[in-house]
Amino acid sequence: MTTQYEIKGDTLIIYAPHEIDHHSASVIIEYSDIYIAKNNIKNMTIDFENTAFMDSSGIGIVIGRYKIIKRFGGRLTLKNMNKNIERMFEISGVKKLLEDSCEYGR
Amino acid sequence: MGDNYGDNRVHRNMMRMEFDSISNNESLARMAVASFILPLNPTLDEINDVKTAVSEAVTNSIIHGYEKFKGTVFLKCERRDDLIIVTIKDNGVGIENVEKAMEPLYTTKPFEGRAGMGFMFMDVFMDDLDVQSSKGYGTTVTMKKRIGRRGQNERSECGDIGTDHECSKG
Repeated sequence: MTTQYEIKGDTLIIYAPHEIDHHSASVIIEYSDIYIAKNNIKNMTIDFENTAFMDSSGIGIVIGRYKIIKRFGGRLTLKNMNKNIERMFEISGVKKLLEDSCEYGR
Repeated sequence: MGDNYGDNRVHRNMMRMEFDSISNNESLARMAVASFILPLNPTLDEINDVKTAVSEAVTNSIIHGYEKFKGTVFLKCERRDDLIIVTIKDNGVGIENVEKAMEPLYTTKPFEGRAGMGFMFMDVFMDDLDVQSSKGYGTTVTMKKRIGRRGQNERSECGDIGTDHECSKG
């Protein structure tokens, strides 16, 4: 499953791919930065519904996008994470960083 | 000690592969290791832990070890009963200060979306992590994990080396 992008108003929604690793992450970073630059994006949502596997490259994507979105005063939302992905955000401290913008549950 | 072929009470196995240092091969490596450990009847969490650790180590070899040139990544998996030993080796640039490289959040590539958490995840998801590196000669990462420490009861219903890992789910 490849990454899908959707723009709703000033929010960019990224539907993350089946597996997030360094290979797929580099493409997501490139595309999302282009979308942000071209479409007056303020907020971003990353939807992990289709994502079964993620390594630390996923953490890199989130931290990087968080920094950009914060600069515009926007909000980064993470949703539909499976148990393993949520655990990685917990271990890395990202969960704490995004405390009020994470949506858990399926 | 000789291999006990035909005696399936002793489970020993070994697998070696080598591949080009291109990012497409990250998924190849973790799928190969996941397949290798399947006969141990791992839980889905255990499979995920091993896949994550392998992905981190292979990514390091590709983006740091062989950053500016294409090289070969060597992967070796060994099974000794319930112990899995995964070795990932490159002949890349090596790490100047291993201790520093292993610190959480330390990365030499902060602008390329790297979080500096690779070694931390290898450490968390495996039981044992060893990193040997020599500048100019490459890096060898050895990771060990015992499979089947948790959920032992569940597993026993699945038979000893059944490959049907579905029954260890949950």
